[in-house]
Amino acid sequence: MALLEVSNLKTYFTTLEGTVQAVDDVSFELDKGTAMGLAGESGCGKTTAALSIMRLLPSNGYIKQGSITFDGKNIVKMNPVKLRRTRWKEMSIVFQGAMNALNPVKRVGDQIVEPILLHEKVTEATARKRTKELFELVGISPDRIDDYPHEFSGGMRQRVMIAMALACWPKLIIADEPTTALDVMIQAQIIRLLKNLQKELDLALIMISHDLSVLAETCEFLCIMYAGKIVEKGSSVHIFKHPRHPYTRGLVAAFPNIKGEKFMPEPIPGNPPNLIHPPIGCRFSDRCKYKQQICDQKEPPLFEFEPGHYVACHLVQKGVI
Amino acid sequence: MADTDILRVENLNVWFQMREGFFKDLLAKKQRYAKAVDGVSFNIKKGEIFCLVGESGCGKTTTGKGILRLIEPTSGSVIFADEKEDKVMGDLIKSVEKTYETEERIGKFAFFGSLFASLATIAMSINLALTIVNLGENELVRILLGLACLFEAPILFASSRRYNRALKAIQEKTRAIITLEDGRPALDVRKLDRSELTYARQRIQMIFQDPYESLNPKMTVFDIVAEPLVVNKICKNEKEKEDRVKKALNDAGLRPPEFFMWRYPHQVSGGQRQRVGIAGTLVLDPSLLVADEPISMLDVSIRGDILKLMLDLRDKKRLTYLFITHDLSVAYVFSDRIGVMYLGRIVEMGPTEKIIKNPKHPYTQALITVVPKPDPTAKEEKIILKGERPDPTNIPKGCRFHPRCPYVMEICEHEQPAETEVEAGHWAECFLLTPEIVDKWNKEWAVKKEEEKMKKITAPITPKDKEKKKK
Repeated sequence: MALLEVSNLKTYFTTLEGTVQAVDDVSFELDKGTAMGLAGESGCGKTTAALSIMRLLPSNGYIKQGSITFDGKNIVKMNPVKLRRTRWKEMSIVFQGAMNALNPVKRVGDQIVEPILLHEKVTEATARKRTKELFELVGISPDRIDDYPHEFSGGMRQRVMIAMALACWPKLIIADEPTTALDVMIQAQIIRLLKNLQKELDLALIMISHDLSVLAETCEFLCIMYAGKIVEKGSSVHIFKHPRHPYTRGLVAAFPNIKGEKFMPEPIPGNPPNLIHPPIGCRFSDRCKYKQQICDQKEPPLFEFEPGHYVACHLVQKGVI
Repeated sequence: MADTDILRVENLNVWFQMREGFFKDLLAKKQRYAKAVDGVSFNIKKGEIFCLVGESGCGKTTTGKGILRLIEPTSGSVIFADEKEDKVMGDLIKSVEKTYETEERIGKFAFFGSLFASLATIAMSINLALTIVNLGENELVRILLGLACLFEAPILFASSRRYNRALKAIQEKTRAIITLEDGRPALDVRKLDRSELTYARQRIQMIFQDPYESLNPKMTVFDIVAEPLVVNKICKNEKEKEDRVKKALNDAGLRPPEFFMWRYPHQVSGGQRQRVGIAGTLVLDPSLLVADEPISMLDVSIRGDILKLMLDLRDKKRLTYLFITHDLSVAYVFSDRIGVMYLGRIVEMGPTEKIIKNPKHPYTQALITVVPKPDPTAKEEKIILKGERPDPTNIPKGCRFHPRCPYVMEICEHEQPAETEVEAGHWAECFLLTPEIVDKWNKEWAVKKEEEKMKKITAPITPKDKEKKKK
C-alpha cells in the first residue's frame, strides 16, 4: 500500500467574491522512498494541495471533499489532537521562502529543539545532541546551533529549514519551492542535499516547484497541475520525453536547455482561468492551440495513455494529437 | 552602423567605504572598501545584446547601476556614443557649451572683481595713510587701516579660488564630450553634472527586476509611464504627453493602450506589469536599455513573451541591451555575447555560443554544469562549488576564484591572471590557459623558496627563536 494516497481532493477557499476552487478533484499516490514533483504556474493550486495534506490551510480554506490517507490513517477526518501528533512527527514541510520562515529572535538550534521536545519524551540535552547531528547531516558546522537566523546566508537558512523538517525523522517531507529564491550554485547544493537525504533516509518527498528543470533532476514522478486540476501525471522520463497534454508541451517548451539547441522559450499565450467560475469544459481550452468543440463542453477525464502515464485531454484520448 | 560601439566601459570600479565606528576608523591604518565592482571593462555594439551573468552578489547589478550613475562609481570611465544625428545628444552638447560660457563669464568676473577689489583697497589704504600723516596719531584710523589690509587678502584669495574653479570646470566639461575615432561625439557619463545627466539618462534607461515592487501602487499605469516625461520636462502640453504614453504602451504590447492606461498596477497581471515597466523606459525613446533580471520574477509561461517583446523592440527601434541575469540558460538563448562575472570582475567574455559550448574558465564551467536541465535522463557530473557567495570586502590575493577553484595551482594564490585570448573575441582570466607562464613562474618560485630556506638556515638563532622552539 502506498504511503500517501490522495483521492478526489477538493480544497476550496471562501472569499468575498465567491468560492475559489483552488484544488479540484486531485488524486495521486506516493510510495515510501520515492520523490514526486508537483509542477505548474503560480496560482495553480500546488501549494494548496500540499497544505491540505498537512491540514495547515488558512482559516478561509476547507477540504470540501475527498480523502487523504497517510500510512493507513485518514488525515481529513483526524481530530486536532491526533493530527498534532502526526504532523511533524510523521510528515513535515519545508516552507516556501526559507529566508523568512525562521523566527528571527530565536536561536536556530532552539527552533529545531522545540519540535523534538514536543513530540518525543526526551531530555533537552538529547534533543540538542540530535540537533547537532541534524546540522551535520545537512552540511552545517554543529557549533553554529546557537546562532541567530540573520547570521546565516540564504542557502544556510534553507539547510536549517531542511534540518528542522527532519527533526523527528518523518516519513514524508513536502518541500515547497525549496530553491526558488536561491542562486544557481546554492540551488545545485540544496538539490543534491535533498536527493542524498531522500536516498539515505528512505524518505518520501513531494517537491513543489514551478521550475520543471529542477523537478526533472530530483523526482521520479511528476504531476502537472493547471488551474486546480492534474492535467498529466507519470514518470518524469515519460513526461519530459513525450509530453502529451498541450499544457505540458507548452511548459516543457518554455524551458531553454543549455545543452541542447538554441531556441527561444515558447510562451503560452493567455492567462489561467478564474477559479471562482471555472470553465465547464477543459480548463486549459482558452489557451490551447488544438482546441476543438468538445473541449468547451465536457471536462476531460484523466485516462491512462500508456502504463503509468495519465493525461486529461479529449484530443489525446481521441488520438488527434 | 551595425558594428559601432554604443557603450564602452573601461576599468569601472564601484567601491563602498566600510565604516566600523568612529574611533576604529580613526585608528585604522587603511580605509577598507567593499569592492563590489573591481576593474570591469567591456564594450557593447549598436544593436547587440550583451549579457552579464554571475551569482548574486558578484556585482552585475552594481555594474548596471554604475553605468547609469544610480550608484556613483569610484573610478573608471563610461563612454556612451550614439549615432551622429541625434537630437538629444545635440541638445546636450549645446547645454554643456552653455554652461561652459556661463562658467567662463563667472570666472572672468571673479578675476576682474578680485583685481578691482585689491586695487581699491590699496588705494584706500594709501589714502588713509596720507590722512594719518596729516592728522597725526589717531587710534581709530589706524585700526581701520589694519582691518582693511586684513580683509584685502581673503577677498583676493577667495576670488582667485573661484576663478580657478571656473577654469577647472571648463576643462572638465570639455573633457565630458569627446570625439571617437570615427568622428562621432561621445559622452563621458562620469563627468556630467546632475542637470546634464538627465540628458544621458534619456538615452540609457533601466528595466528593473521585480515588476511587483518597482511600480508605485498608488499611481495609474498612465502616470507611471508618463513620469519620465514629467521629470525630464519633455512634453509641452498634455496632448503630446498622452500621445507619447499611448505610443509607448502600444510598443510594449499593451494594446489597446486606452484599456490599460487608467488601471492601477494591481489590476494588471505579472507579465503586463513588466510590460508597463518596459513602456516606462520606451517613452523616452532610449537607445540603450540596461535590463536587470527582467524575467526572473515572472512565471515560466510568460517569460518567453517578455523576451520576444525585447527582441522585437531591438529590431524595430534599434535598441541595444545590457542584459543582467543569473540564469545562464536564458543568457544562452537570448544574448549575442556573454561576460561572466565573479566577485566584481569579468573572468570570461566572448560570443554566447563559444562561452556555453567551450567554456575556458573553471568558474564558467561550473556554472554551466549546475544549470538544471529539463531532461531527467541527462547524466552529467555537476561541478558544485563549495561555499557560498564570496565576500567583496575581503577579496583573496592572486586569482580571486582560487579558494573555490577545483584546479587551483600554487601560482593562483599569488598572482593575478591576465586576460588570455582563446579565440578572436573570446578571452578568460585563468592560468590554466597559459601553461608557459605557470612553468616559468613555478621555476622562479622554487628558486625563491630555496633562497628563503637558505636564509633561514644561515640566519643566526636568536633567543626568541629558541623560546618558540621550546613552546
